[in-house]
Amino acid sequence: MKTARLPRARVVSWRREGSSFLAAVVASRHRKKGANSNAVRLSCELLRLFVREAVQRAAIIAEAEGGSKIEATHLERILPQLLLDF
Amino acid sequence: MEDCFDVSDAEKEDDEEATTHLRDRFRISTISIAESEVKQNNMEISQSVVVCISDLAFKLAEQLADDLELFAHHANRKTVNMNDVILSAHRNKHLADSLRSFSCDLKAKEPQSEKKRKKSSNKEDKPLHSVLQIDP
Repeated sequence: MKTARLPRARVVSWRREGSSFLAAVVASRHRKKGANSNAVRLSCELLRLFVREAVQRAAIIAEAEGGSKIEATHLERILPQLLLDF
Repeated sequence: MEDCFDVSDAEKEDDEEATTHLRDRFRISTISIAESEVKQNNMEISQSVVVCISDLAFKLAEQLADDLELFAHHANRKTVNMNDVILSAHRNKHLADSLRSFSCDLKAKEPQSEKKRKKSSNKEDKPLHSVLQIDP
């Protein structure tokens, strides 16, 4: 699936996720290895793309079914391919 | 012996506490990302779906951290690199490409005048610095 380039609007949320990801790396039994700060930023980008893709694919399914709210069934439909893609 | 047990128990509790804290923070940022994404499409999203996605992403982050550690170990490095992250996405060409272009952006931003010194000295300091910011 194609992933579009990101607009620059959401630096704040990106930063937040960055901090939590970094803390996840540090806190969960990964104390031996540090991480380059750019590597952490890049990993955040990966995680954010994951969230974006999940929402957008679910939105496509929801739209096809004629609803305007994304429900759990829509997520279920796209989940296998999403997990294969990441 | 009992002391030993107590210590490890306390450590475990601390770890769990930190993990739940992290999960909550992670959830907050996932919610904000998902909400803005949904707003762009003029749709709504139910909370349970967002929570589910955030748990999935958290699991992905854990797996990613494991992978990155292994990659860095395999390359005899002590720190994780940008290339490791790109390598972890090598199965999905589009994803790897977009990560690569993002890494190019990051690289283009960074090198100013003292590229070399930054690289050698800040590598170790920067992660610690960011950790200090998170803690409270």
